[in-house]
Amino acid sequence: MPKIVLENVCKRFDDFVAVENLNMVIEDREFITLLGPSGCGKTTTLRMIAGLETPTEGKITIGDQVVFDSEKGINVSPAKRDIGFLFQNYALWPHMTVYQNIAFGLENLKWPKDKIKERVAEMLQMLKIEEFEKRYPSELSGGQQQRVAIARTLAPSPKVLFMDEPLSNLDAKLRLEMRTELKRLHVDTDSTFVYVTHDQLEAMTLATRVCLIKNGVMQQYDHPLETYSNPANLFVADFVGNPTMNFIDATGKVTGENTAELNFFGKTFTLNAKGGLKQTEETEFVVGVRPEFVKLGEGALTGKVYATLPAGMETTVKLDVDGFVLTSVEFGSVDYMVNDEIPFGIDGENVILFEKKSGESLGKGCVTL
Amino acid sequence: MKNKQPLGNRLKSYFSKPANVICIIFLVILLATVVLPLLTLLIGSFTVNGNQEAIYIGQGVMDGDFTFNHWKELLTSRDFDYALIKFWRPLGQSTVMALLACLVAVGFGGVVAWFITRSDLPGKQFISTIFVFPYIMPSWAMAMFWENFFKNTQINAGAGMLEGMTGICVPESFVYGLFPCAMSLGLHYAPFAYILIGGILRNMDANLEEAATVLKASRFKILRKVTLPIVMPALISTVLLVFSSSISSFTVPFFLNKSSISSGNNFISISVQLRSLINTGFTKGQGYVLAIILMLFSIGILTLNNWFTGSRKSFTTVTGKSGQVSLVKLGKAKPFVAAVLFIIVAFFAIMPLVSFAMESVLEVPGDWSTFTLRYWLSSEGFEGSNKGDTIGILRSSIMWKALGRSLLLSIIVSLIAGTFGLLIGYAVAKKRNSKLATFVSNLAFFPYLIPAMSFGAVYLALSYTKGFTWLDGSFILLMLVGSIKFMPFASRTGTSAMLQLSGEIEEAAIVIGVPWIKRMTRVLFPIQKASFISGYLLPFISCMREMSLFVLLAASYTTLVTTVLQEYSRTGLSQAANAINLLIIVVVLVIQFVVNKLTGASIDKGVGGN
Amino acid sequence: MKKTMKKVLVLVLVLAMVFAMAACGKKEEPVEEKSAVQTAIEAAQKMTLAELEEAAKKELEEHPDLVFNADSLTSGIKKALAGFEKKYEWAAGKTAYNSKKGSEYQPKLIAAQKANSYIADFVMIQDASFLKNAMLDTGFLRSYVPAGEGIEIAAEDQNPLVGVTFNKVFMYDNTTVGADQLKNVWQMTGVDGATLKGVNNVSFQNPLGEDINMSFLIMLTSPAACEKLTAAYKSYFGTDYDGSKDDYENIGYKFVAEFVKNVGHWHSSDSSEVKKINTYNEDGRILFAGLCKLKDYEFYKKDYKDTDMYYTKTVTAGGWNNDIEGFDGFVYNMWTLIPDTAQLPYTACLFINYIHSEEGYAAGWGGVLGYYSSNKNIPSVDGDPALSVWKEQCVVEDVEYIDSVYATAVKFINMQLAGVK
Repeated sequence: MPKIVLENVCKRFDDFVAVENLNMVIEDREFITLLGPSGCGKTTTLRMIAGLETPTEGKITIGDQVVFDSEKGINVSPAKRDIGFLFQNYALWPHMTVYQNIAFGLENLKWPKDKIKERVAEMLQMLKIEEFEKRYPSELSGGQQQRVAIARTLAPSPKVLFMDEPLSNLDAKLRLEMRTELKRLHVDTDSTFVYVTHDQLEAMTLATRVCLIKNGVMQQYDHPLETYSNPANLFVADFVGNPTMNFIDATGKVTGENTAELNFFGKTFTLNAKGGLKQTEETEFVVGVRPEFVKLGEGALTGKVYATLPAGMETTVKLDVDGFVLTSVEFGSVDYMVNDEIPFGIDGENVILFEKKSGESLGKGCVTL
Repeated sequence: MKNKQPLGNRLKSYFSKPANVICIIFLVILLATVVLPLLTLLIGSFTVNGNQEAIYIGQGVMDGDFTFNHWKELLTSRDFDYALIKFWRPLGQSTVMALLACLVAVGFGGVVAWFITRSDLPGKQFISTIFVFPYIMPSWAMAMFWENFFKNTQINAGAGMLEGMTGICVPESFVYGLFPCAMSLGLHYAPFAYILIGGILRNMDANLEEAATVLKASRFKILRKVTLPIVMPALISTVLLVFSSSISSFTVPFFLNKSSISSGNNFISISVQLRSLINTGFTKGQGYVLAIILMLFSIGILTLNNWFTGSRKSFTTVTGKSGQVSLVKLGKAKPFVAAVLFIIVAFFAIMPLVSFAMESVLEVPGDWSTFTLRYWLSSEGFEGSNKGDTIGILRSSIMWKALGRSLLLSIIVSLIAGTFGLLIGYAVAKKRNSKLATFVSNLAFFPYLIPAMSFGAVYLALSYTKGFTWLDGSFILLMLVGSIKFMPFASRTGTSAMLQLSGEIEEAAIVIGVPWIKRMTRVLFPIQKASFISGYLLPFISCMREMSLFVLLAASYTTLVTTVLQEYSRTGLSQAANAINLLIIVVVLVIQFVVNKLTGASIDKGVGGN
Repeated sequence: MKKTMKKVLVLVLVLAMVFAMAACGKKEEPVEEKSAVQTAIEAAQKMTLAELEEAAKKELEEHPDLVFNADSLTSGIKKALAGFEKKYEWAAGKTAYNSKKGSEYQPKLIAAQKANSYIADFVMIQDASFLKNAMLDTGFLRSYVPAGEGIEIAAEDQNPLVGVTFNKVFMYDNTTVGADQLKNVWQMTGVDGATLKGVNNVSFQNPLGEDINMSFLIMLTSPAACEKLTAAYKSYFGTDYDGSKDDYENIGYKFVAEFVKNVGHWHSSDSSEVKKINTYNEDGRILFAGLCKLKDYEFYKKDYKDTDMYYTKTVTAGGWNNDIEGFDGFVYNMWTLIPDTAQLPYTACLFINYIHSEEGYAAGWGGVLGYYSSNKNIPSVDGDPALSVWKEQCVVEDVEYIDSVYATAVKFINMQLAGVK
């Protein structure tokens, strides 16, 4: 079964570097999301693995087969990589009916007629679009078109399925629904999924592992929760999680293997990291605090309520702390008066220390006064 | 770093992409078929072409010697005001004429295009169908109609239709000279503007205009600020095509230059001068100079065109998600606008046809008492007729054979040119930012700019070269020349159609392993069928009525219907010539109709999709 | 797939090379020895008609795959070929007529000459300057002088060999214009003379598109024409022409300048204009066109014998004046020649012989006004003056003269056409 290996893959367009020296292993049956802002090279990466784009350098292996090797001049055509590709705009063929759209690929694989019929029926049923068999894409809604596109992609049972922001054209409700379906499909089809998105929530909820990319360089490749609680750098920390992490500028120094002394909000804190801290001579830091670790109502710190944003299940409260707007998330519905002075504390073991200059994470722990 | 891959591998990977292969193949084909004629022109403008020129230049030069004389003479000679007469003044006047023609074409074609695509005008189908008629007719048909309609006894030219009906006599400058030339050409090429601009308007997202309406912009402001910039590339394309066609049109200015010199209406166009220079033994080289300068003009516009479309790279990519197009309600003005538009369009589309029909059945023009059908039906021979040649064109086996040959030639040429255009379009669309693809695409436009005569002359020279004499007058030669000459239409249509398809449409097929040929025939072609078929129809029409190019190259055994037409008119049987003209138009219309019925495509749906 | 690509590539490359070679064009050294055609013509020149017929027959039989190609811009050749095939049964079905218009044919001739390639076995062309410089001086077109019973060609018509002579005259509609309107060529300069009024209704085909008209204007500057013009000037204005009063090179240039300026209408085709000759009101038009264009009249008269329709409608109408002071028109030639690369030279000689014989001429051009054989023994049709008379009264094309002043005269005429002062 396929395991996808990328070794030193680069892609340059003239002077512009789209992907820089990417090394990555995608295990069999994983659900990988490539996450990053637009133009970061994630789609290019996906297209290179699929064979729609030729890397400038590097080596790509799918299963036992080297599908691309710049040094040996190997470049296997997408058709022979045994993959499926789901496009952002569905790319349904407007002149073919739903049936024809799904069957076309199978005909091309020289499947016998009755088998095709069987398989298409199976697909239509699986994606609950049986009644649209004879319709043309233009006669379908966006969500239905998306299902047809998925059915078409899945019909030849590809071992690897690539998806390029497939849900971005759907409305919020449908998107949620389709997310569930995709996760289900991943299990049902027993294949490897590689999924491109710029929506961190989508990436988090769907993937077994997330690959974060910025300006063509891989930032972190880890389980979603790892990227959430152990971001490798400021970029990842900022990109993952909603509302975003609080980044508080601090000065101080690393005082020991597990400890650091930090000054922020006009006070001096001690950071205790169980897992240890990377040693550095730097004196400028950024302290990363997830909104849920800002506990309101008790603590040694105070802030003025700037705004309250209740969402039913949780409430986002914005606090003004000496001109710094701190975000806090409280479970349930809480209400504060704007401009109320309230006490708060920084809770938990997951306060992350970043080196300001490099943006790299040094470690995490709890902060105490 | 960049050259880490071995050359062989890179080549292999380069050629594994059909778009690259197409680019290279067409680069070679076009270099051979287009650049060589160009070079020949260029070389001809710097060498002594024949003994007559050698004698004229004097100074002991020989045929084939290098000389600057042609350029110097044509551009600077003050001898008899030569440069002024042969070059500067005609150039200025012709530029004015061509610009005026552009204005008429863009104005008329653009307005009709807007009404057809953007308003709730009734009778759209009809107007759309007949609007392209003037383009199907030869360009001088409109000129002939113009003269027949407006000529009058006050200018001693006999009574025309207008005078006959209303007694109105228009001034001479309205009948002969620069103005009617511009009008005839403008009206002839208006369908071009209609097709190109209409294509964009049809595919333009209505939201763009609606958004502006919501913002309470006035209708005029919307037109100026939203619609116009969007159709700008099509507009520039139209101007380019109309300008280069008009400025090099010979028949219309030659036909309408009938005023006396003292009247001030006498207008000798640059194209008439070009023809006279090339046909005069001692000024061939100057003719080449003139041809090159005319091409430079068009290249200038082409560059402008590329610059415009270049800065709007993604101007029409259609993903098929577009919603309903909302039409502008004409309201109370509807019947009025419809009537006016209908009358004007029908007048210029149908009247010339009627005029042809009339000319073909009247012994004496304008005199119904001389009505006769003999030019259609008589089986008698005429002065100088061969076996099979008859006065009545429908009885002439030679005419039928020539018509058949013309049809065959046009079909083959349109298939080749259309397919070439489609492939070039594919390569350009696939390699949007590649310099090579842009170069190939521009090169494919060049045959349009090279005067037919000089284009033909190069192939003529080839067919007389030892080893290639089998080409002389052969059908293959006609096919080759026709395919290249008419490729620009197809490559323009093909490119814009391909550009409208998002790349994913093809990639979706690549991923499931559909081979390239099948992707083209089963996926890409069917989606943009209407546009591509226009790409086949335009060369077909142009080829059916092409005269000057083929007359030079055809032999007695490859007689084409236009040659027969010319033969009739040279024999003085202008009625029969008119009858053939009408026949050609009817044949083209019938074929267009059949294609339309079979495929749902027609040229008026044209450039820019369905 | 890849294999086909390769094949296509190879094909394209070959094509490119082909073009490259064609573009370079091999320049062949001038051959000093006599060409086969030249030898054949010389031999034919010494043969009797019977011997020539035999030689032509043998030639055609030896080359069963060849067809005798005759290129011409006049359809008379087409009819003559039919007569030729009838007379010589062995040539039946072995001839082909190719209609070639001058300006379109000249590039072909030049291309063939440069490549020294076959173009036809026989050509009939006009345009003196082109003929002399491009065809005779290069030795590409050669003359065979027909001889035999009843054939007599004037010495000046022998090399190059004149096939048929044509004329263009000033025609008008008798019913409105009348023969008495145009009596002196100076009337056509628009100026009133001592007794006659100037006319301003001359219709003339634009010389930029019609080389015969260009030749006519050029010939007007020749000494012979100047002599005629001077005499007519005196008669019209009552005084002698004084060349010192203006800066024209001679009276011919003066006439050309004033004539061109005074042309009232530039038509685009003689044939269609002749048909419309009666459609103009009042003064009508005086049309400068080939006399032979009235053949339509001859032809239709037959068709409409009972109704006389065409006759009344148009050409009764069409008349021309035989005694205009100055000149009546322009006499010019079409030459019948053999290309140096002809494949069937004896047949060509025989055919030339045929069209110069009474029988052959009758087949091609017989019975029509405005055609004149260079064979002195063949008279013009009834009602049409003899060629010698026309030559007397008209400006006559002269290859040598046209060639000698061509560039200057054409420039001068261009200037007049552009209306530049």
